[in-house]
Amino acid sequence: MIDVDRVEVATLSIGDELEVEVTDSLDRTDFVRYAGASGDFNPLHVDEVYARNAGYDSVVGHGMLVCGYVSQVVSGWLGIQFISTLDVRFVSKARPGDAVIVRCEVVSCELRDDETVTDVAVEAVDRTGRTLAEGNVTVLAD
Amino acid sequence: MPDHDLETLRKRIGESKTVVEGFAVEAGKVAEFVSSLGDESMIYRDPDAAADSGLRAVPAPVTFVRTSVFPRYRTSDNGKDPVFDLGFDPRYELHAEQEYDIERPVYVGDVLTGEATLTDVYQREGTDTLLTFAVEAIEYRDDTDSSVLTERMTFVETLPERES
Repeated sequence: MIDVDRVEVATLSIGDELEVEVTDSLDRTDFVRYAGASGDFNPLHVDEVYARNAGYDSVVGHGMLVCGYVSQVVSGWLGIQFISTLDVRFVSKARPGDAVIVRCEVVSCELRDDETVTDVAVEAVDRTGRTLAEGNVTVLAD
Repeated sequence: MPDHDLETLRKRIGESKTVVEGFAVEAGKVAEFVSSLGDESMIYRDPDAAADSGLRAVPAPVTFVRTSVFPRYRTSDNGKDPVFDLGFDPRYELHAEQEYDIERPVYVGDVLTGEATLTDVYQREGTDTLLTFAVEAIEYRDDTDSSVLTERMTFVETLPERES
């Protein structure tokens, strides 16, 4: 579950961190619910037989589900209206039973043309520390 | 057999077409999408909560524009991303990267159009694999023709062994 206390972007400093456990165990219903909500019905995410035939041990989560978790955590933390860019690379597959933990760390704060430009490194990992996705978010605030 | 002649594929860079029309951002759909991401925040559900957070309307999550893939919003023959058929084998096609450049949040009540552009195609040699990457951008514009958000999707086809 994502329920993050908002902070003011202007108060951020390099090194500020946030860690949110989005779920302690993904289940297949999470993939089905996201498929229905997003319109991505790739059978790799919902059809066990198809996934096994494609060489996976089970169905795997949508990359965009993990990207969505990252986006929602950052949006809740800093305010969706301040997000200027979001860039996520998919590193490994989320599987049923995996926890998903989203980590954010402020890596730079600069004043440019009266705007504060803040870069936040983001990562989603499972409980073993395996990276599911990683990337960067840029936040602009007056 | 997929056509992996890089020069042929690269000639298609810059191809562009309207793929999303009448993409009406509806409150119920936004709430459903946010729930599928496990987000409990009321700003995505309640106009008053959104206003208290300084938003002019209920926002949609950044990643919500992926729902433009529903047939209701897609022009004919463009119901799947990537919309440019490069001959990728779907068994070996993966979504490698997702990027957003955001002008403003998408709000409930917006009606968006989307123009897709093939922005890059390139190859890399992996270990016993040939990786072919394609980058598709979709720019979403509102009913005043102002740009709202551009998403860039990088897809990769990982052929297990090189085919000739």
